[in-house]
Formats: sequence, structure tokens, C-alpha cells
Amino acid sequence: MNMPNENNELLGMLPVLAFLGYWLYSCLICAVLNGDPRLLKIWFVSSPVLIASGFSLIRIFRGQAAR
Amino acid sequence: MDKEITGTEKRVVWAIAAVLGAVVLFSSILHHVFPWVLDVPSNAGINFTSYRAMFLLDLIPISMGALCFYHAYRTTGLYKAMMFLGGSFFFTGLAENVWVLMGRYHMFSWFSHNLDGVTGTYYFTRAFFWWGEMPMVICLGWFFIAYSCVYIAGVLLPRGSLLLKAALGGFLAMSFDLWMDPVQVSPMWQSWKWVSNETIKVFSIPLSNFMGWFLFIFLFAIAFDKLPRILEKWGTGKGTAVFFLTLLLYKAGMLVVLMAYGAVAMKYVSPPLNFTIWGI
Repeated sequence: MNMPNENNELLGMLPVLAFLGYWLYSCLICAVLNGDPRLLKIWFVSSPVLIASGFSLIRIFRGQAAR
Repeated sequence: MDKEITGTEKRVVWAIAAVLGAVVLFSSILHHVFPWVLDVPSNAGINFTSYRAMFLLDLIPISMGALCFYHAYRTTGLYKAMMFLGGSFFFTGLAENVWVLMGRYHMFSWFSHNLDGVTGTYYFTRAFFWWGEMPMVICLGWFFIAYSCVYIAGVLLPRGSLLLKAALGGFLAMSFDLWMDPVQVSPMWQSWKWVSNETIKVFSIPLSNFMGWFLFIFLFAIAFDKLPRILEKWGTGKGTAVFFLTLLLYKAGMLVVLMAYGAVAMKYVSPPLNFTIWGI
């Protein structure tokens, strides 16, 4: 899917930040509030989300995302 | 606004907005005021089910959805942003409602075996705004998770094929849910409840759920990629209808695949398998 980007890094980061924000709320914060340490220990199953989001933020910041 | 919008596109945008608003209004009233109509299960013993708490919790995904909609609006224009939003609601909303209501009214017993009296699927517990019998914010979640995952895939694989980008997007969404689902069904949250007797589970969640996450994002990304060619061939008005019909076909195919998987797994996988870590 081609989504044209603008020359605006912050705008380009919005979808990634929204996804990370929801991950933070629905996974991390809810797991912490739950209090069951086993739920926190399985965080690594969603590590692809963090890795992919991190790399995409770097690419967008450096202006390497597809225009 | 950065993209020109034609009169027909404007009418489509208004039509989608009106349908979304009307369905949410109707469903929310039906769910909260007339729960007996669709046999809404009781929320007794479930946390955060006051109207105030449900409204505040709904605001979190609504904010994330707003960020993605704004991005889509600024980069692709209002028409395509609305098609992505409306398509997500239509694609996932109808499918999940079918799944929830088929379970609620025991419609799986005709093809499944070894149910041991459990004939349900799952149901959602709390939300202020509803879309049929699923929370509106779950539909919205599908919208912004699909949008974000496919966007991230496009950023990471700018020269990758459509199938590769769609597959990476689906994989990211599934990876996200591998943690979110066990957290959200934990005793404190109970945002939804599994009442399924599926024989293969991961973290005590039916495997078909994770298959669904991958397939939803993968298929929607492919369908949305076809939108420009559909519009070129059919024009905006008919093209919009063809796009939604395409989604309907994809959705029917996906439901058939998941039901066939469920029937085979129920029949041949015994004893049940549950892939857990630390008892989760």
C-alpha cells in the first residue's frame, strides 16, 4: 500500500506513535496495573512491535521513509 | 486540506460518516438501554463498568484513532482516509459481530464436535460506544492498528512487494495481540471473555484469534491497495460499492477458512493443546 508522505517528520511519525501509545496502554500499563508478574514476563512476545516501530521512527527521522 | 475532493467523493464521505454515526448511536442505545434484545451477558463482578469509567477508557483508543485519521487525511486526502476508516469498520465490525452472535446463539454446534457443552465463542464486556455487539473502539482499534502496521511495513520495506508489506503488517499486529490478549482477558480487566472450547490455544487464547489478527490486516492491506485501480475502472460512486463488495468477499472467505480450521481442529486434535509460558 502506498501512502504518500509529506516532508514533515512529525506527521510521518504519527501512525507509529499511535501504535506505540496503544501498546503502552493496552499491554504494558494494563499488565503493570494487573499485578500478575507473569503477564509482564511475556512482554517479549510483542518485541517485533518495538523493534519495527523503533526502526521506522529512525528511518522517518532521518528522512529515509518513502516519499 | 492538501488533496482536492470531488463532489462525489464528498457525498461518499458524508454517507460513510452518517452510517458510522447512526450504527454507533443505534447500537449503543440498544446495548445499554435494551440489553435483553440481544441477550447481552451480565457484567457483574467486572471492573470499570460504570458509564464514566467506560467513557474515559473509550477515549484512549479514540485519541490514537484520531492521530492516524489525521495522518491519513493529510497524506491521502479525506476520501481515502474515510474509505480506510469505513472499510475497517465494515470489514472487522461485521466479521466480529457474526463471530460473537454465532457463539451467543450456539450456532457452532452444527459443525463442531467435542464441544463438551461449550458452544460459544467470545463476547465483549465494557464500552460506552458500541458497533453492533462489539465496542466501537475495537473497530477503531482495527482501523488504527491496520493503518499503523501497514504504514510501518511500508517505511521499513519501501521497495518490498505488496504481499510482503501486507504480511509484515499482519505479523506486527499479531505480535501485538500476543501480549495484549492475555493482559486484557486477565481477571482484573476482563475486557472480553472467551467461552470457546477450541482445542488449540496459545497463552490460553484460541489459536484462531491470532490467525484472525494476521488475516484481517493482511487481507485489508491487499484490498485497500486495489482501491485506486477500482476507482479508475468504476469511478468514485460505483468504485466505492465495488470496494466494499470486495471486502465482503474477503471477509466471507476468511470466515470460511477459520470455521473450517475450527471444525478440523475440534475433530482431530485431542487432547486439547495449550501453549503456555509460566502458566499464562
